[in-house]
Amino acid sequence: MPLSRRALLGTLAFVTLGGCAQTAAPLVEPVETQVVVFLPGALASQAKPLAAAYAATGATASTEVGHTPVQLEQLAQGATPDVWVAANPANMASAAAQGLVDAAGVTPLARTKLVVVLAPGNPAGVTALQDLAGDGVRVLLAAETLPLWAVTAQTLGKVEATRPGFTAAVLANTRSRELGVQPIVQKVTAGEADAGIVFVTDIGPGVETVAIPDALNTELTLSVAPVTAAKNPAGARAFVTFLTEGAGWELLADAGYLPPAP
Amino acid sequence: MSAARAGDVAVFALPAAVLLALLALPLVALSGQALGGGVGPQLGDPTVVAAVRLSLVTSTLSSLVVVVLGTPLAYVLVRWRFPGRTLVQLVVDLPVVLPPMVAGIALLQVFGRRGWLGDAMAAAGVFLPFTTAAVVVAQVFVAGPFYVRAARLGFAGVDPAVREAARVDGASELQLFGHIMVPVARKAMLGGLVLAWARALGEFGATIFFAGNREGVTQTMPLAIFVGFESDLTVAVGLSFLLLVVSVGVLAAVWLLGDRPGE
Repeated sequence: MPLSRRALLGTLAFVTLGGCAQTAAPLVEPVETQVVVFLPGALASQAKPLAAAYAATGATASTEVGHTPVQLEQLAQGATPDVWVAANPANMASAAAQGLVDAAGVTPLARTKLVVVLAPGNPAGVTALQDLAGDGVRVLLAAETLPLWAVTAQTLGKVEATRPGFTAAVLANTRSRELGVQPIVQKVTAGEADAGIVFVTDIGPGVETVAIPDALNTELTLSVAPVTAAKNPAGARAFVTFLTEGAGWELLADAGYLPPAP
Repeated sequence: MSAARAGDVAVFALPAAVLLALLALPLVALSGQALGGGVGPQLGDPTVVAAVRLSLVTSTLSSLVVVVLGTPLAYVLVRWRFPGRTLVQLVVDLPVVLPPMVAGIALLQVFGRRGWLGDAMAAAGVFLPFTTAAVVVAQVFVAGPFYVRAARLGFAGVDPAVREAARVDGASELQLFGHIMVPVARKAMLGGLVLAWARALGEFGATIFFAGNREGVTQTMPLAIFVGFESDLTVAVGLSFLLLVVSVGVLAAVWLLGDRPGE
């Protein structure tokens, strides 16, 4: 019996020491070749292809997709990815002002724009953005906190300028303010709603859409920056280069992203 | 000897203290943030008021549905042996351990426009997803089992001799149910009801998939917390504190109803 007690105490001491060791230094040393990247929902569909393309360069990228405002909060609370791609220039500016990212390293990455996504077979007969205000059209829009909403609101405002009451009518048709871009795409393409407004770069092949003319459309600029507290600063610089002018950019361009405004 | 005994105690006390701290500290910190951060005015925000009202209405409705449908289910499971009874019990218990998001996606497969009942419901002019009714359905799905389990245990706890005596005296099944079973199982049923109501109040995963997020229609308190976290942290902290207070009240109610652990 004394033996088993000693074993128990020994286990406890080991656990306690292990705990101390963990606070003193990470048990797992950061791998030099791995770069950790926070991506916005606007790049959700590109996360895996980007990681795969980066792996071809001999290094590895671990990507995490989340809402840009949430990721800003996570950075402020001490999250330390190496690279942050933000879907909202205001959030990126805020991060730079707080010193969370390297202000001098903030680079415009790409532009995307809006499109109307339709349910299979287009049951509501939507042929233009203006039809979203029609009677009984079931619309899904982004939650007010998403970068997608900031852009959507501008486009609704452009129609509103010539058709007063348009925004109110679309909002009255809105069945849900979804918490991400992909939830809108998924629920509309599953037929749960008639139409939604999303980024043109979020649409997979075979999905029915209605284009929004440039005069009414609004662009979103994605920006990228190395994180100040990056554990792998060299990897961060390499990944930013990969994204802005390397194979990463080619992949984004193929997926329909536009180069940043000149 | 006493030193050895102290060592013995420490073997248990130290890890216990670590877990206790992990459980208690975040809640203490949340309370401190809420009470010290002046969240009072935030709780008057129209979005918050709408979310609180919707949560109270939907969780009360779903509790009613759970009682009306769940009581007979628990009764049947206790009173009669029938083929497939074990399978029924499994189905009833499953939502307790099922991740709520799975519940939301599964509900869409049945009640969605392209779900099993989608065509029939469309023909009847009923559309469930993105409605307050969908919130209630999601809550019934995730919270119902808590009540059915408790009611089942309550009914099962009735002394068979009392049941038999009532039958011998000529009591019908309805009389047995109303005059013997329910009064004896009352505390267990109430305890289960409080737990189910609290589970419905905190429901997030199934709601976000199945019911969506629309202020005043489907945006319940947990959804408002999630959205608030991205825009106004004080709203999220205030609502979280509110739910914490409610949870403490729920536990107190369950304890008062006699379901005190270790006694």
